Amino acid sequence: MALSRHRLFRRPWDRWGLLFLLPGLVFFAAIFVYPTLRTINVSFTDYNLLQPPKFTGLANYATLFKQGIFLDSAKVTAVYVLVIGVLNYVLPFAIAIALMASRRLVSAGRALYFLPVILPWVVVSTIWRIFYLAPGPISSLLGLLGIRYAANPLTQPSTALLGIIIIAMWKTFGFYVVLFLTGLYAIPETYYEVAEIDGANAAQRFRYVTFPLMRSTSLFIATVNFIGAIKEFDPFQVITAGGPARATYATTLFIYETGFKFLRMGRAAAASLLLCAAIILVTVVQFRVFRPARD
Amino acid sequence: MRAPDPGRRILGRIVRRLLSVIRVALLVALAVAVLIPLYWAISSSFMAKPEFVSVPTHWWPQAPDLSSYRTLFAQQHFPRYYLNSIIVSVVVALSVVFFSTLTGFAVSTKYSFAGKSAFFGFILATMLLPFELIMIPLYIMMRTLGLLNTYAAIVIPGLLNAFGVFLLRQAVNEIPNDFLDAGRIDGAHEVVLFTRIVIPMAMPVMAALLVFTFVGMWNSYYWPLVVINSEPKRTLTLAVVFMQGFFAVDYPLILGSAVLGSVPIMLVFAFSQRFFIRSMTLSGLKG
Repeated sequence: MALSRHRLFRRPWDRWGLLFLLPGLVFFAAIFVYPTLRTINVSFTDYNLLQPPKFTGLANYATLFKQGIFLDSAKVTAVYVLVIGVLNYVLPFAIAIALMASRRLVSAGRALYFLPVILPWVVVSTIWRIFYLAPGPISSLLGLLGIRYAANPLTQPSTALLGIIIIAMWKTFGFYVVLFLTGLYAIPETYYEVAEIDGANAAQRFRYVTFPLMRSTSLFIATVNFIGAIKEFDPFQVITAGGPARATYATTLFIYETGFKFLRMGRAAAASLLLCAAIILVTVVQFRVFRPARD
Repeated sequence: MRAPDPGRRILGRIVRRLLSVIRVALLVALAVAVLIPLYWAISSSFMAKPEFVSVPTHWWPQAPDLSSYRTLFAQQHFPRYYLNSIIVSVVVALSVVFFSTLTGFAVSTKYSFAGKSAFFGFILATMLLPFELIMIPLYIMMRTLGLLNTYAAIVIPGLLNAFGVFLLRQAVNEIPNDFLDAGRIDGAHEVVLFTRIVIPMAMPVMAALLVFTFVGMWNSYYWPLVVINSEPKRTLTLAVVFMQGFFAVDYPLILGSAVLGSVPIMLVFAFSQRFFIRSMTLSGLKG
């Protein structure tokens, strides 16, 4: 078929599509592609911004794996991501289902739960850092309930990460409630009516109607939640600065300090590549796990 | 079939009632748990230091005290921080919306050219990359261009993003082909189709993205922290953090700065809650 002399474009106006794409392509090339390549390049060097980079091969990677501090930071991030990954999936799902069962509360609940989501992480971190002071508001509230407890979780290495996890849950769960609600609204009411006629109880309705139909929503939420958690930086830097005793020294904080405090750009670049590899790996696994059975 | 036992039916109804009361109570308790720290922060920022540290905690300032806010506004650069945040957030929001629409139109179903879907996939893939990955070279770029400590340095990496392109591509896909074809038959230029048909029809999504991006930029902290170290160029989020180093344990004042840092966002949210929810609805569940 002699459709066109140019195989690149099917119709005369298609060339405009490519033209409209150009600014975006230039941007993504300059801001993502070139820097990524440069990071790979820097990761094989010893570079402190002042002297020209010295090629050192895999030395940076070797140091990272020998250095307890990087491996510890990887452990902090892994625990954080795992706990947030599970809690921020289960709780918002349950809350969204509860809201659907009490429809009158949906719009009020959605707005209130969403409030911390829009606040800057910096503000949330600042407020909670002081809210946790003990004795303080929390011990006073617990006192009203007859519980005597006055400790600041952020000051103990064993509880500091938990303290940040609670803050992160408080800040982000509303986002996932809204996403789950959107998914739940998309399930036709008739499915539930049929299930009810068949005598399915609440647990069975969840098991056989809600859960399977929420697969793509689940995948999206699991992915967004996971990537968000692994990239988290602000709370670790603002709330505890990684302390006490590096109990909250997340990998992102390690990269920031290695690069911009100690000016070890090569090592920071190597660590950021490892972080990126971890993100891609887990995302691929998630897509495998949540892939629709048939679609 | 056995006739249902009336006793059991009443029992079932009571249990269901009870469960729904518990459910509502939990949902309300959750809302209270969300509000308490915020309420406490606002109320505490109106206390003098002695009242703030009193045990048990005061939940209402018995002697309302504006000294925190007075000290904050007396700070030389405080209005500048607001201005800085507004400038970078507005610039980024406008740029993201415009270029997302243009790029979204280009990769939508309205055009077909070799490599289109590969380009789109490549743009989407950038969503996976952590900022750390590109941060060091970006910093070096800004330094080489002499842009450290400028608005340009804060703004440049945010001028466009994959999320915006994704969102607007969806919106453009939904514009009926006939609209564009009618324009083409009338001899309208593709640029005119973009400004007269695509932009007006994508406007609701553009508005949602505008609000979303503005808030995201207002809240950003990491990149400004890297490229800004001159005090007058700090954004509000940077200022809130740096003030904690300066005022150490003056907690009412620090809380006051946190409150001031979130007032604009609260206002934006109050007026655009619908947009917000919509932009997220669009983001997830259609792709």
